[in-house]
Amino acid sequence: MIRLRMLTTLVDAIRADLRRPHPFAYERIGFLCCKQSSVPSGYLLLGYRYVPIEDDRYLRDKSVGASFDATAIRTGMQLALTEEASVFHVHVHKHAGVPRMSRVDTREMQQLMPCFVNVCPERLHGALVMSVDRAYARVWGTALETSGADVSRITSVGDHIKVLS
Amino acid sequence: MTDQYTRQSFLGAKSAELLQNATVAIVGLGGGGSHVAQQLAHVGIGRMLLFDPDSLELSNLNRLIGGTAADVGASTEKVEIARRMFVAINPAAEVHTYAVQWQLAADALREADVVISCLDSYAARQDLEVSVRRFLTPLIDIGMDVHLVNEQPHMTGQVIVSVPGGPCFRCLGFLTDENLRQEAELYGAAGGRPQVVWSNGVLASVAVGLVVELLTGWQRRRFRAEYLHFDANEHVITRSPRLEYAPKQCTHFAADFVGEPVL
Repeated sequence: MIRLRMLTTLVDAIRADLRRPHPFAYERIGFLCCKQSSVPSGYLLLGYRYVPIEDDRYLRDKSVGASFDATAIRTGMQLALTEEASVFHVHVHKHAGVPRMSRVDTREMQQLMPCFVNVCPERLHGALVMSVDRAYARVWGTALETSGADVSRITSVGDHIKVLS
Repeated sequence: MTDQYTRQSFLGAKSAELLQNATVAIVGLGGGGSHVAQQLAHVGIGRMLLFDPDSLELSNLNRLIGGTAADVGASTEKVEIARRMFVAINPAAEVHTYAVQWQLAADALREADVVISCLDSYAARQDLEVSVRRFLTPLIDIGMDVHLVNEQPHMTGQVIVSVPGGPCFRCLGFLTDENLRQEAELYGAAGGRPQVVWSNGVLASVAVGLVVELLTGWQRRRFRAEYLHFDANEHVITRSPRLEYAPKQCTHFAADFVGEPVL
């Protein structure tokens, strides 16, 4: 079982950032850094920092909601390498309820995740899709099947413990 | 929602599912922790982690819920008494027991959504809070003590909620260098602390209410911490004024200070 836990203040900050309109991209993207711990049932990932992708790192690609350049990818890789972090690609689907990864999301992650896994193979890395009120996450890593694994429980800790998944 | 929980359905349409899918840890299964375990079983918590290295002794029988005279003779572990009681009430629950100091099973403790501290020293509470804060886990502490006031015994207690990001035990003035120092000076000389079943029960009930509030959010109350004081002689619970003066954000634990410590 894989759990992802973070403060509600961090979740709010991520949503606030991703809601900001971009000059030309349809949606925004950021990276969530997590510390990884082993627990008897599997893994616990603890979100601690969110790094938005800078405006000028987006590419003018109308075939997807947002596309970013190699510098942005290197930012994520650097976070994984220097902080030994589990790094999540984060974006929003603008609806309520538990989101799912689209075909485009899956295709993009198959290209992006090996970059993170190569620089920090001892950690899981993944994609976090947030909706208006819930979230879905999938992780990849050398400890898992190549197809990755769903994060079973995503919670935010604040006024109360909100189950996002 | 099954019939078992219809009387608490006001907690929310999904409350039974939220409680069933939650993992709650109790550290210390003595007079306070055994009460908490019993009530959490009734409430419908689906997964429990129980930590206590001790076995039942005769002096525990005045207050340890679920303990029997036969358990004293058999030196039954306190975690086993709590497990037995829990599954008797809630057979579908998954209950894991650790008859060791929690530090020796710290990786298991990390799975908890909420931890309840039923420890009896300031130093032990400090150790536990330092650990669970790193894993973004709310901590609820209960405890009671008896002091002599004008040569009369006066029972007091507290229930404190420490939520990551919000004020901690030190921010709330519950843990201070002075009370840790005084406790250290008495180390080995304090003997058994006075405990009675009814005041433990009050404190445990309040703690269980706070667990349910944290897991369901049913009151929609915005709280970053709680500090309740119990005057057990007068049977009165009041909110500590220390809450008003505590910083809104913790000044001792940074929000990004998470995961296993790097030595």
